[in-house]
Amino acid sequence: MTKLLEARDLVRRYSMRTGAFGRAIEVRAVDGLSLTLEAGRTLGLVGESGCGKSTTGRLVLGLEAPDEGAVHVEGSPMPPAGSLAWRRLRARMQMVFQDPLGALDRRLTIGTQVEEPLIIHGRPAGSERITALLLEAGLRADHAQRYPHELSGGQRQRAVLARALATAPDLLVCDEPISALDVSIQAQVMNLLMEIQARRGMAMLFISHDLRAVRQVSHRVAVMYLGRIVEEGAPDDVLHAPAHPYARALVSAIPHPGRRGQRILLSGDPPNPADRPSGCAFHPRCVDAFARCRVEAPALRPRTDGRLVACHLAHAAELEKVA
Amino acid sequence: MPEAPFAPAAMDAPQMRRRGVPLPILFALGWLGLMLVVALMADWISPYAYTSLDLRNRLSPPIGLGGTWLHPLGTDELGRDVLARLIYSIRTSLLIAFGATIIGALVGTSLGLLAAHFRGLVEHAVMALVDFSASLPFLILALAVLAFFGNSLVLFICLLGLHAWERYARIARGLAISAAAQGYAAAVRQLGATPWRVHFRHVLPNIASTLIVSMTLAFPEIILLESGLSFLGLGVQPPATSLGSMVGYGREYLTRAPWILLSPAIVIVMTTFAVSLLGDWLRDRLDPTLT
Amino acid sequence: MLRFLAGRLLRAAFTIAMVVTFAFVVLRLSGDPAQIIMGADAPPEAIDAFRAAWGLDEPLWRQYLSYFSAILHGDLGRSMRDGRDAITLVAERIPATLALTVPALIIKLAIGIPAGILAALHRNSLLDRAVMALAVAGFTVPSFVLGLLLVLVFAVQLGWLPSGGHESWRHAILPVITLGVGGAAVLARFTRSAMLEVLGQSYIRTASAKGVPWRAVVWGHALPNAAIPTVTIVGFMVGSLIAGAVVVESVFSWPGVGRLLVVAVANRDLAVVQCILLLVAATMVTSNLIVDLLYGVLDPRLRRSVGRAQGAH
Repeated sequence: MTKLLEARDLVRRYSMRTGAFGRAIEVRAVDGLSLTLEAGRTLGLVGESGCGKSTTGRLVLGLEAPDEGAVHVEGSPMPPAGSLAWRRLRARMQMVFQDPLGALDRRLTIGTQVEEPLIIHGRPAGSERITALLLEAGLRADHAQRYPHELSGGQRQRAVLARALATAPDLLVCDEPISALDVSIQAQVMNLLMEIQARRGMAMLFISHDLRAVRQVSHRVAVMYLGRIVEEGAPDDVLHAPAHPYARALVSAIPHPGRRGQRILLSGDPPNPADRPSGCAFHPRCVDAFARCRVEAPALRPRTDGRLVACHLAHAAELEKVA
Repeated sequence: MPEAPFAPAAMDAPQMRRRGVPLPILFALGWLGLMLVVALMADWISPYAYTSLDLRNRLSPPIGLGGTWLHPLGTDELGRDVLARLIYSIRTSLLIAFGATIIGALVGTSLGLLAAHFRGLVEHAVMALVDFSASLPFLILALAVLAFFGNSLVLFICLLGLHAWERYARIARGLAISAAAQGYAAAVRQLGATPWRVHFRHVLPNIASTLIVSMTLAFPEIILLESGLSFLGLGVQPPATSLGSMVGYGREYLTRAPWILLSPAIVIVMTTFAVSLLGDWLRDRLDPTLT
Repeated sequence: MLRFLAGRLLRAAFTIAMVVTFAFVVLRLSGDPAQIIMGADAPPEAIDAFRAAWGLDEPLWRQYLSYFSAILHGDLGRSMRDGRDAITLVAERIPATLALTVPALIIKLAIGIPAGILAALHRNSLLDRAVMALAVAGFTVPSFVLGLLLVLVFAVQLGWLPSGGHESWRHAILPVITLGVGGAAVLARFTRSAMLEVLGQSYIRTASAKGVPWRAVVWGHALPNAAIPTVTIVGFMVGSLIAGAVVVESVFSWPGVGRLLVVAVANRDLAVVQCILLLVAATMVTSNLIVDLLYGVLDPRLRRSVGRAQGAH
């Protein structure tokens, strides 16, 4: 399991003004995040809107430069966005977007757009290559002559996928790839992604707010809250025995036919990255918060069972168990 | 009785498509085609040179008011044939209008795209220029420049070209920014395309229709501006002749020989009207979001 | 709100400063001002004297500063033709221009806005088409053509009204009509499309579906919302009053600021041109400022964002 990409202590800040003449407020979209992407494996990144997942995706790809921390690709630092080296690197790392219609140029045919990465990177192109890519993505060869608005949402996402796979990338970042699709299509696209990943041996960063989708497709799951990863581990483990209080609330919110047991409802306001609580970012909504949580932000550390958790209580409980 | 609020806008569009090109638009296209032909073929179809004098037939009226076929639209005070002058004036005015529109679109679009691509200081500088442009009515700016720099045809065309540049700049910048933020431009950049490819292969073709509509809407304004300035004697200078300057010279003879200014005036109005109609129709078809 | 006002004032001042700089740059770019103003064949001693008097032999940045301060002190130079102060010359023409443009503005507003509103309310009816046809006519016929046509019909053929000069109020009728018609046409078109856009919004349909009488919907919802973009264009019209008057005053030989500008440009009387340039800029900037303020009052969305920060939400 080789490390394909490593992100260490990423911080990304934005400056926001409240109103026309208000003070500038600093918003930390990503606040000290580290993750590792292994070749051929999928990391699922899950969290609610505004937690910084999309920003993380862009930082991982190098589309934006982090304000602190660094991203390394196979040991070498990520080149600055827009530079020649960065552009060349695109052949190895691609992205699938949330809005497939927006990601496609409405004036060009699907075939032209699927072929474009090959032309950009000087790879052999031509209608056979295009057809092969379209078929792999579950489309038909004649879709090459169609325009984006003539396809359904699911077909458009397949087209975006076909385009992303054109240069046989080692890494595919999927930012909410199924959120804009009908539920019936979502499963199909999910299966397609898994199939392709297995066949090509690609690494994947799967970003979503949907825990079930993430679980289905990932080898490893990371839960994000307000710009930090609060828990990381094997999907089934995180789903059946979440260690972080936030993860527990997320899991309990998954509808389950016939399940007994209480849903954990979080109190307090939804997280606002412009108004970060002190100490642990989750403490105002955490039932189990105690004094230390207000003061000190917990670091993401491994438990004995390998699970990474950022919670004072989770580690304290562990110490108790051992003691 | 006011109509119900549920204006059947959605029903209008398919109706329009089925009917094809409406009749007024056909007339407009016909007129404009005629103007273009006249402008291009001026040297061949004009009965006389526009400066040639016929001193024996000064101020002769057009056909129908007592004139002869020698000078179908009459002559002016120096015996110059009005039809001939009209033909060459059409050429001059159209040349200026086309040249200015294209210059404005090129300058405006480039600046807008530059502002969108580089953001930061470049964008602020461009927006400051846009603000400045919008802070003075263009006529006044043009007059000031003409006062300071005198008048030559090239300067005149460039000056008129700047009349609507900020519209193209705004459009180009706005559309390019939204394309870059979440849309296809960002996606193509992520594919590894160079900025050139992003802009020329993707952004420009997508904003082209909006820009073209803007150009057709600005074209008549330039015609009016040029004819106004020429009418005041500050635009096209003799011996060259334009529609506006013909009206300006004909003004002296308003009472005695109104045909001198009526024919160019009619051409100005018809041409402006035709392009406006065309522009509105194009806008409704291609980009209803423009006002 | 005060901060908003201060910000806008600053921007206005900055714009005027830009115009002044523009005039300075253009003046210097257009060649040696001494030669331009004195004429190419003036004796060299006169040119040197002029240079000394105007400080043209000083470094450029100093010229700019003294230029700027001269303007701030109200010294805008002397007219070449006249020898009098440019400011006086322009100032004495302002009332004549106002005598035309103010009534014309009233006509534009009184005819254009209601016509546009009515056209929008009765969309696709005969009234709408008629208004639109007239509006297009008013927009495509340039003011000098309209003016000359009116003179031809009413002064020459019918002899009802005088054709030029400014002796009596009757002389003002044709120019005011000429000025007013074009603007009314533009305003009618614009108001109509602003109204149409507002009427197409969901909240209008909602209000009507709730059972609110149509008249109340129009007066209470549609008009106030359509007023916002309309105010902008009215502001622009007010700001460009002089520009509109330029051609019309020339057609009717009306001794206003517009006509003065044309003559000054023809004679390259730079001091006068400069003075009028600044006057127009000041008018436009003031008008925009008032529009911005009105916006803040009319558009509640702006009010909220301009107030103090309300915290996290």
